Amino acid sequence: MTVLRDTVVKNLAEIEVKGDQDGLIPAFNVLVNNLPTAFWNNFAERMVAAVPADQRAAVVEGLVLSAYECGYHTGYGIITSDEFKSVVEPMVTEGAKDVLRGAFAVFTAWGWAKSGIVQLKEGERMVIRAVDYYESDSGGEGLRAYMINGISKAFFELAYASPYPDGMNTFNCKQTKGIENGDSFGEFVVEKK
Amino acid sequence: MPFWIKEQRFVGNDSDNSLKGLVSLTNIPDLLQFLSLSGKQGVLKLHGNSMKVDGVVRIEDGILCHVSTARYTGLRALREIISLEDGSFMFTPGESSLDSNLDMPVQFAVMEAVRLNDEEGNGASVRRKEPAEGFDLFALGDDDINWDEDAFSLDEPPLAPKTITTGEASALPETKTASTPNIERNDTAQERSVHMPRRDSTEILSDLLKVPGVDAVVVSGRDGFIIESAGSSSRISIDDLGATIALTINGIEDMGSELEVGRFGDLFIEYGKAVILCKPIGDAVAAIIAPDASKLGIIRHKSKKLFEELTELF
Repeated sequence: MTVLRDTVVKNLAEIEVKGDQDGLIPAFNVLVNNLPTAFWNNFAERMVAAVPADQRAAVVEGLVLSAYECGYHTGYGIITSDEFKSVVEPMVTEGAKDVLRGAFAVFTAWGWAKSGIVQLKEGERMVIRAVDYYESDSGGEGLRAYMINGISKAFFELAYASPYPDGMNTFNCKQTKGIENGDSFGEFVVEKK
Repeated sequence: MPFWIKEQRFVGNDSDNSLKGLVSLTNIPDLLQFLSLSGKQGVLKLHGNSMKVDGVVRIEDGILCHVSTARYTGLRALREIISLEDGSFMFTPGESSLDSNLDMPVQFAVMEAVRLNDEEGNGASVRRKEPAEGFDLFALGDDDINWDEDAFSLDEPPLAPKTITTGEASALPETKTASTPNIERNDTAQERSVHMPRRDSTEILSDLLKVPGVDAVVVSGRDGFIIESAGSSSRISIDDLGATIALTINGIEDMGSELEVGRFGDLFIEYGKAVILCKPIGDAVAAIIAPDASKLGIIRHKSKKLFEELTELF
């Protein structure tokens, strides 16, 4: 047995999602918001467009870094949450690999990106593919799935780097393909620095 | 051996209405299937250049009645013949006085020969050959084909130095020529890296889709994530397939562990409306969807190399 993402998605879909008086949703040990994806896409697009061309790379790096830091802490919240323990953990038989599968299943269930592991060399390299993600609708130029980029690196570090919170900045992630760039899917390669 | 074929006596039409061609432009299973499906009756003579294999096959009503090479007869001879990758063939329709040494439907015989070759690692896989665009294999004139009856009486011509490519290595003699790269016979990945650039999965899936009888191909992670798919099937929902494959393979692997019979290597499921062929490729699983099992032999043949390529990617 390994983690079956279909089972995870179906089980998580039954969890009631309801915002508090501030619009935040307490789940998976973290607070999740419920804003339209267009908001985040516009936010990123305007950030990049607002700076001169020679500084855009720095802004892009900042956007990825934001997603990465958020993903590292949120990811830890996810894999230590009661929801994860009750839905995913019973299917975990292959250790960190299955935890990663479970994390990407949750990522999919929450509607962030229909994504999963394509290739995994434990502790060394991982290739993630996303076939449906909100950043593919964003405006701008080039590969711009900043969120999946940061999240992929964060999840891999949670699985294979030093235990939380000391494992940050152990790996790099590079987006190699993107629907927003004309490819049929988005692809992200995580490797050691 | 040098005069073996000449001693065969064929009764029937002469070469005027025969079908001739080069093995390098097709492969033997395809050719046998073509002859079988088109209801041909007659004798197929084959001459392999590099492997120095001469063979004779008699087909009647889709049944292989006689197969022989210089060394073998019956199914064992067929195993040798289907490994040919170059040379020439000539099919002469009509009756034959060749004795029967086999009685198997072409499809089944080919499948069985491939299976046995696979089990022995005998280089059974049939390399896919893509003729040049607009090229009609069977429209060649006699001048285009170096067909010579005397070719069957070769006196052990020296083998031209050749480079070993994947699938050929195990079929070649042990002796290596000076120009033969020093490649370990079983190191497929290494061989491939020496001889061809690695293709991406989309390209390989596209090739799988060209195999006759294949409706769709799906690559799924062990967790059921559809990594990639090509083609479409009106019979099966591709999205649902990923989840069900993961569930099924998990169950099958659990069974394998419980019974201590190793990891699963191949899964073939025949339903009323579709056939699904699953194979592990690295850490993922590939599934081929076909409408029925009639072309299963060809599918298994042609997909083997492509599955090996996919294995290197996942």
